[in-house]
Amino acid sequence: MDPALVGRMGNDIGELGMVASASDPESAAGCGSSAVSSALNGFAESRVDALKRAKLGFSTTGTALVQTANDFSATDADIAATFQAMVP
Amino acid sequence: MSAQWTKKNPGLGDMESLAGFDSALTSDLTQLDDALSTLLKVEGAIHGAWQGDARDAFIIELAKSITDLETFQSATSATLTAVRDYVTSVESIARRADTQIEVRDEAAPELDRTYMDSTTSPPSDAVVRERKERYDEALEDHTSAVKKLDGLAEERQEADDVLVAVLRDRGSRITPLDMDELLSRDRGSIYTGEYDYSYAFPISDDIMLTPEQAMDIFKANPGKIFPFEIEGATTFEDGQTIRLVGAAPIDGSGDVRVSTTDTSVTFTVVSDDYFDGAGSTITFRTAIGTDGLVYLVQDADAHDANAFAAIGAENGGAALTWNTQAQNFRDVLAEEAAK
Repeated sequence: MDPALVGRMGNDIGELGMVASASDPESAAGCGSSAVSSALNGFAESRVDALKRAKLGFSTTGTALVQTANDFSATDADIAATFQAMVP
Repeated sequence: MSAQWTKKNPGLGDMESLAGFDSALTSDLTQLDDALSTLLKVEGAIHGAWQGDARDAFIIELAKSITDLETFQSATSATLTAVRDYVTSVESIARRADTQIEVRDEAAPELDRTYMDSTTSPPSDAVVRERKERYDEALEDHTSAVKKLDGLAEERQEADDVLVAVLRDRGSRITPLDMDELLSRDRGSIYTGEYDYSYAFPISDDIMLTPEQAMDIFKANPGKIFPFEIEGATTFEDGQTIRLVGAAPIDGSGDVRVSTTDTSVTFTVVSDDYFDGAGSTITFRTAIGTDGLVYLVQDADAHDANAFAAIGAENGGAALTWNTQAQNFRDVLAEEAAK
């Protein structure tokens, strides 16, 4: 393993977790259709969940990679178990 | 808020209210493009640079993340297109509806007019004929406008149905069933971790430096020593409440109460937004090791912690942070010694 490369990957991915964000769009209640407005709100909730999930995934993966690159005492199996535990 | 559209006015609705949605989705696509680009770059680089079980496990997770992001990107892109198409359709419907509404409303008074306003009684044949022509013309215009508005209402309903279908379909694709459990923000299912650890890093071989003196310097320089931001304190004082910012990639910001002794500073978590539960502690203390060196020791005792943070801590993730802290402490001690 090239620890420097793995560490850089961890930093790159972890950084995505730090910056990923979901801006809240203003209500679309004025669009003239309650069905459309309701569906937009539903999608917006799914979207926020998906962004949170992505952010969580980036953060945990980035952390795991950085610690993999820096933790020379952990065995390969230990690190593999860490990744497997993180897969939602 | 504008009113609900009707058959009488199928163009109702403020399309500007969808501009924020367009903007949010456009921003999402930029972030998703960036994230996918990074993950694909990592996927390309990982082969040949890393072998073994850990790499295999990571590649499985990476592939899943890429698939999830591509699904999310595809759903976002399709939704954005559908929203823009909807806005274009409704604006077109509104323009055409306004024309027909004007025709309909201009014709309506003529249909309501009676022969009673005639100046002669009974009205002359010429007047009756002229009135009838105007009435017939108004009736034709009115009927035609109402019919066209009915058609536009059907068009609007179809536009609504298409957008609603896309939103529901794409929204369902980006929401895994276990999201509520995974993303519980009430310190529920993923906040079950417990861990403790103790790290010790040598910080000085100066035989004249006592643990008390080292701790005084530690307390006076949190901004230089901690590898994350400390809000609410430029020095550590017993009893103060401070906020740790970005102490971990997940839920890394939270409030802690500071307690001190001559050789230690202890943080006790007091807010519920931190990756460790309230009441969790970490103590930073200075001590002389059996080798005669001055050490910085970090003792953690955490409960109700984010499970991912606990996994990370148990696998040495915290050691990286505290090793950086120890190095910063060494640098500060060197600066102090040089004064």
